[in-house]
Amino acid sequence: MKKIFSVICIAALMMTGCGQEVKTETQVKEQAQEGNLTFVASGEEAATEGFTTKDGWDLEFDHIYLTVSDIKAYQLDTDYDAETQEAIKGEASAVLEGEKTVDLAQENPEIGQVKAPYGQYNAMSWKVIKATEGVNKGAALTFIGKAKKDGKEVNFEIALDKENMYYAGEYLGDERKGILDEGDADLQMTYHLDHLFGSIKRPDEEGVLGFEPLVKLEKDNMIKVDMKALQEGLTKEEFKTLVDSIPHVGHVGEGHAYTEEI
Amino acid sequence: MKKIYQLGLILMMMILYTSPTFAHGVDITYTKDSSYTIDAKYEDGMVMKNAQIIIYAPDDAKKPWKKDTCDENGKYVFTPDSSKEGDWMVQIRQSGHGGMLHIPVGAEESAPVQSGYSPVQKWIMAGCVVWGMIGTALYFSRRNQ
Repeated sequence: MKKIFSVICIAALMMTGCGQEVKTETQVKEQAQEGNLTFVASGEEAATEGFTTKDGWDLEFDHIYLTVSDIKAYQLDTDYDAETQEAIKGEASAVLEGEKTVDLAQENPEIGQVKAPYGQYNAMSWKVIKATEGVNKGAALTFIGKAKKDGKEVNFEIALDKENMYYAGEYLGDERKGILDEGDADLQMTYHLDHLFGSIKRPDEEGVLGFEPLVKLEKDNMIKVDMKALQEGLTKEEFKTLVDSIPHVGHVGEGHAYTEEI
Repeated sequence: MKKIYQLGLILMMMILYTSPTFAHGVDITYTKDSSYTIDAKYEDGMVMKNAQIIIYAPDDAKKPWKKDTCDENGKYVFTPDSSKEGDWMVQIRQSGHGGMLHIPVGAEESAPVQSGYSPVQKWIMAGCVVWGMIGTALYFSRRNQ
């Protein structure tokens, strides 16, 4: 009996040994190398230059404060597809911790930089949270600026506090991002403002609020609202449209993200 | 007892002898043409008319090998440089929507695609089967005694 047990044990050990993956020297060297991975945000031209909403309001922004945290970058063997509506499976290779607030009205504001192992970062996750301090305190996404239409001008400060977790695959855009080798690389979370206010290019688009419904909340030439004021001032349908559209604002370039409410 | 020991050895030898078939038994391969026709559609079936295409060759993941557009039917015929073997990446975008496609070309293309369990897992499973059979044999031999 002991002999049989020994034979089986030795055979099992041999089998495991044969199947072990052996990393080449190059692979080990590559894993050991690190570079700078920078996380940036962007509201694209719509945020920096302004744009016209689906109902004809020209928006210009002084600030668009966005507060994010727990930004993670992944090197996945298989591309992550946000359309599966599942969280990213796998361990992050780079993490930027802490709460960060950026201003999307600036061109591609930097959120932060981390040392990260070489490789291709083809997925990313992050949280949009209510800021606990600073210019965006109490809000997750705040729009400050001016709106103009037919000679009328109104200032606005719209503070949204919806918190969401985003999961996205590789950045889709004119340039490829997230390939970290010799030199630095960056990853971008991209905010499509037309998903909230619509675009004059698609005046009949449904599922976006536009800007006109907000104008009725004006007082002394100023629309200063938070979620509570929006809920009270908008119709139920308008408020629902706004709330439902908030998660769809976050992208990676033109790549969609899967969102879970926090 | 001696018989059981022999049985164990025979089974183990059978597994070792037949193990090379594990690597090929369930492999899936596919054939290729000299060109690929990309068909770009939205989820609802609507074609991505004149969608932007950016192609990256395997030797330079950052610099586009080609930039072009799909035709009116969302189709694009892509003929890779066959001297550049590896994973070609095709990015398709239109109006805030887009997707990626990986096309293995050359040596990797005809490489067997393994599905199911890894060789290590198969070895361990085989070991478990043998161990189970020996255990069963021992159980019955004891009962006979």
